[in-house]
Amino acid sequence: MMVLSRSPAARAARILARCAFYVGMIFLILPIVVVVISSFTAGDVVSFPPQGWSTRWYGIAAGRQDFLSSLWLTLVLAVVVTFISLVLGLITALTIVRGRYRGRGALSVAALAPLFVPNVVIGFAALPVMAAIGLLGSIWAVLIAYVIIVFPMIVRALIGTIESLNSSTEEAARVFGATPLRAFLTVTLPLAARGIFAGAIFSFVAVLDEAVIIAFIGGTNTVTFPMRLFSYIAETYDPVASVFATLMIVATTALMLVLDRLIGFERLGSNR
Amino acid sequence: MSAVPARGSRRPDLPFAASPAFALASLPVLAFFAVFIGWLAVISLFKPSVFAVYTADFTLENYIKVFTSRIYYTALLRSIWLSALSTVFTVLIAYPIAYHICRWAGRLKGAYIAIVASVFLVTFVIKIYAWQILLERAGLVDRLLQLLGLTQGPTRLIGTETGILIGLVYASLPYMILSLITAVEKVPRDVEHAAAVSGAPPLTVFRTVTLPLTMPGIVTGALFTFALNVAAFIVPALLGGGTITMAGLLIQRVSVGVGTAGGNWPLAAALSVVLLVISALFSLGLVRVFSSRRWRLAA
Repeated sequence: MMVLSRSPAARAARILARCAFYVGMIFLILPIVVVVISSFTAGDVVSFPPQGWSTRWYGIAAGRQDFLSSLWLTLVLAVVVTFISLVLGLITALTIVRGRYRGRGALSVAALAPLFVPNVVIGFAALPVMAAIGLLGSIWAVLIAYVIIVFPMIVRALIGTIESLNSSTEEAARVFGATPLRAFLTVTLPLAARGIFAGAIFSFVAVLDEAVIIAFIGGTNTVTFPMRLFSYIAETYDPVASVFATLMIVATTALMLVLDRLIGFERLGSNR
Repeated sequence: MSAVPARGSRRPDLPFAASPAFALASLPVLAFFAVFIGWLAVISLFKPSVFAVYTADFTLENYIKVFTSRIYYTALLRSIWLSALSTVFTVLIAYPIAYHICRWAGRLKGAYIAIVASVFLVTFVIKIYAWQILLERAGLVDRLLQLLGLTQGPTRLIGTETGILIGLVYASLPYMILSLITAVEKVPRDVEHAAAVSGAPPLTVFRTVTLPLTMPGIVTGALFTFALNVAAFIVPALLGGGTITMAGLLIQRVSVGVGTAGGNWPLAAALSVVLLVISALFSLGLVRVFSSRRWRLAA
């Protein structure tokens, strides 16, 4: 920094880099702002800039039972998927980090393997299996497929958390007579709480985000919010979609603030 | 408990969950996953049937079709090409943003990262919906292009490869920025400072110190971007305008069937296997290239 502006070439490069930053940030922010603004249009179709201002689409959106029930379904699904994945993922991450047996390395490879399979492939692969066991189109099919994609994310996040924990406190508790389970629950688990909670939020966001797998196995009865939005905007062009998108943007921004409190922004990039 | 060694229950040398019995927790997930992928591979080797899902005749026909029938190999090649291109553009756009945030933003650093993280968390479909609005005829991009004199008359970028490319870049940009921020943060300023004090001009410092040291972050972000985009489904579905397909979209179309024709699961399975192999090979290849050479030092 101290010697940066010495040569004209360096100065030009720095000005160029700054311009690239501002243009890049506009590219990043503008589309989200456009969605929010388009929800306040008075016109009948989505357009930017909007034709007059009004909040009437919010009133119309409030009466859309299909979107509201999709939102509710997605929230329930996100909670259940997160809970199951956290329990299974925590135990798996623990035994990957602390296990003293052969095959531990293979387990960690297997547990993270689904991360390397594109969602569209998992979605289609689930189709014949779910059809064969009669779950196609049911909430159970979606639940199983979502745990498969969320589980490895949680394992990966928690391996880091558990590795960073010093196990000597837990050992001390056991020297004083606590059972292994009790020592773990009372000493280590609270220390890992932040990592676990961050993992939970990532899981939650993954479910809110997913509109690919559900397109294969969801059927007409199990339409989650992202799927509802996806099929709606593929066919219709009215601002109802913008209203629900805006609500979602507000919600995920709130989640972001919670995440910031939990893990700090510097670590966010390394977590997923 | 089985986690406790036989030598004595109070010995603290084996921590909780050290026993292989705990690996059973992953069993239901991994079993389902294995069945999914295993069955996919099996189905891809059988003849499709009009009446059943597939017939019991072994064949390589599905794979041959994927590689010789124009519609399928075009979609595959387009997927590879567009995701490679989008990866390059994403790195080029993300790097100055990440560098500026880490080195020049000062007090605004936290706020900038918050903005990037917010966009990162916005639901994927919404990010592409935004570009549906922007790229429409008479949309903001169209007006801008006409204003700058780059196009004559209204242009609709939906249904073009350019439109899809913009969507792919935008969707992976926040992740790439966050990944690069972590990478730039890891570069010790002492090393940059030492190079500068030894007389290296700023651009040389960047080229010989900062850039190589951030290479692992670039690779991580690039891997993620390529893997995500080569299997893109939502982006070509919404921005492809029904005319431009990519492999991920084609898998879905083939599996549900087009028009009155039923789905062809064996063919969709063959496409899925090919896509999976491409995505996995690329990931493993990149990891190997970059972990074997001088970049290992930086990691």
